[in-house]
Amino acid sequence: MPPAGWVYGSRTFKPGGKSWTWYDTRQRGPCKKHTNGSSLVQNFRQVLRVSLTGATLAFVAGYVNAVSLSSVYRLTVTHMTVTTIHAFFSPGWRSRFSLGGLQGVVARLGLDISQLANPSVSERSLGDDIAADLCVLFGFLIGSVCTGIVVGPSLYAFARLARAPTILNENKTKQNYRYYRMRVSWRYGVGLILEALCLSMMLIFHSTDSPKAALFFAGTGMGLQNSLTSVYSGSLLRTTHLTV
Amino acid sequence: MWTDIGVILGQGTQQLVYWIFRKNDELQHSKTDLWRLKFNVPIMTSYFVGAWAGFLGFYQFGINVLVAPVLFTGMAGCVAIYLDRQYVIFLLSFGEY
Repeated sequence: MPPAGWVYGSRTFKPGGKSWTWYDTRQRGPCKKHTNGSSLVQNFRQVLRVSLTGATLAFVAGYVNAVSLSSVYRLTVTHMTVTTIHAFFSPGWRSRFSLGGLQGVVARLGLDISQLANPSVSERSLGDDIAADLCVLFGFLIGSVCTGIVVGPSLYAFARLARAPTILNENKTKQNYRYYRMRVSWRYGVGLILEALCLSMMLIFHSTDSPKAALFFAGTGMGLQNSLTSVYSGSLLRTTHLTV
Repeated sequence: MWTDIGVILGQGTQQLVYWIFRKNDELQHSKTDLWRLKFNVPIMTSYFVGAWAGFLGFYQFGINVLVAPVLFTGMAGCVAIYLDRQYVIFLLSFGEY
């Protein structure tokens, strides 16, 4: 037997017509602005704003990733766990078209650790590689933690929960929109400024010949950006982990 | 993203198959998540364009190409704070606004 539906305040999400639909008890019928699937995005301006924001931040992520891949350790800073197109963005890719050269940081870390038992590989360079992998991984984690500290719980979820029945008015649909949309907050601005600081630290440390510190800050910046966009859009957008 | 695009393409294919064979099924009239493509396709495209720009820029100008994303993200942060300025004023006034 199919479920009757899920109730969110005065609204219910239940089967009706040809698909699942939002119903409002006060409207005594289906919600005009709340249909199945498109409930996350309400109007064209919002779609444009969100997709442009995501696209520009994805541009930044691709840019920083390519720079990181082209620099000393040839490590990806935006794709932690998955196969990347590493080899295509670095010189001599034909000679390094191997499994190790095509993996994300976690896989590379595993490969490096597995090579510790191999006596033919120099321990020093291997330890260096492992340290670089760990710098990116922990940098990404710390970036996400920073977002959690700055932004807190998802403002998008808050915006949805804040739909108090006393505020919603059927005759003022434009005013009601703000309770559903992905709202801009100064907290995201602080997060983006932190990301800019991390990227400038990457630039400084790379210039002073400290590539591990540069990788750490690159990972932190990307972790900040990825978690900011995830929190902003309720996990609709991801600007760094595109192949997941 | 790539997974989302794959799922959407699969849903579209399913609907196409239902439409071709006129299959009477409860899924026949279900909606696909095509609206997600409005976000996924620009993001994927700009990621690859950004990667290409970063790659070319690095080999042309060295590590200094990072100045561009630093400036961009810093400016975007300032814009976001500006757009939410009323709330910032409220916070700075310690709730007495």
